Amino acid sequence: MTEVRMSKYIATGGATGEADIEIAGKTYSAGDTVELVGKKDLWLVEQGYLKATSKQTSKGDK
Amino acid sequence: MPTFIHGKNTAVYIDEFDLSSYFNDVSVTLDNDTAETTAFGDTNKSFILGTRGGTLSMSGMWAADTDGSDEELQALLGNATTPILTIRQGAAAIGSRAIIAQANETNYAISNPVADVSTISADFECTPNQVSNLTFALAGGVQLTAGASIAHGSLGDLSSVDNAASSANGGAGTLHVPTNTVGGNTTIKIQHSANNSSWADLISFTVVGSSAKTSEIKAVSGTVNRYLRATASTAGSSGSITFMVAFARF
Repeated sequence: MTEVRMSKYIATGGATGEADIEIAGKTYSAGDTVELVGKKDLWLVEQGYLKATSKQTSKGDK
Repeated sequence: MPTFIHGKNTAVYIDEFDLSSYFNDVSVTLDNDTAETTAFGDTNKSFILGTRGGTLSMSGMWAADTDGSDEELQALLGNATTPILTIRQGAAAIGSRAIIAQANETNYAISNPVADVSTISADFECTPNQVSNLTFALAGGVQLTAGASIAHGSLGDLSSVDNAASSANGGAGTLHVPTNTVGGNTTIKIQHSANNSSWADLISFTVVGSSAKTSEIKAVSGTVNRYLRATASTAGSSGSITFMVAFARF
């Protein structure tokens, strides 16, 4: 079984409230919901471009 | 072994003009005033550091072209709006070094020798203005564009520049648009990334209007991540745009 851990976040627009972010080639503006897979993009959370909206969810494919 | 560069690839952007083809020498000088504190009984002179400053001196050929050296250097002398300058060092390539500055033109001279080409020279004195933490009122950074013309349909994310590490003290970015025939607004941004994969806007320049030529300098504070890139997009369906973007970390 492969487990993919996904977390939902909301784009904040950063310090200016107007900054877009781009993840996997897709652009998100402030207020958009973003799902992160893995840890490599967590810098966007640490630097305030994303804030958590819900508890982590797990999706498994058997 | 040091990597030297040749001065022949230098480029000069002043406000919305690429004046490179008119100049053949650009000098950048940084200075720091000192005040003498030598007192009676001292054997050696002593000094304390005062304020820092920067100047740019340029010389080249006189020309009466529209948007050329004479027209623009005359217009900038005494202009209430402080010009924005970017001096490209080295090749016209993303990642090449660039010096960015805000500087008032303080001197403009024309020389007409009987046996030689008519020449010009101009001096600029740097002032921080909107970018108050711009040390020496100028800063060394990197080019985020090659300064070449890009067709409206080819705009997008440009190659990234790796600084090897993030920095913590903000920075400033400059934009110069000397040529623009895009039939619609163009949005130009500087983005940063911690992993060269996901990106966030660092600086969003004012939207460039249809066929508009413009320039702008904007500063940011705080973390600037390891990777930087310029990105541009337009809703226009015709034309092309030439723009230079540079960014200096503080």
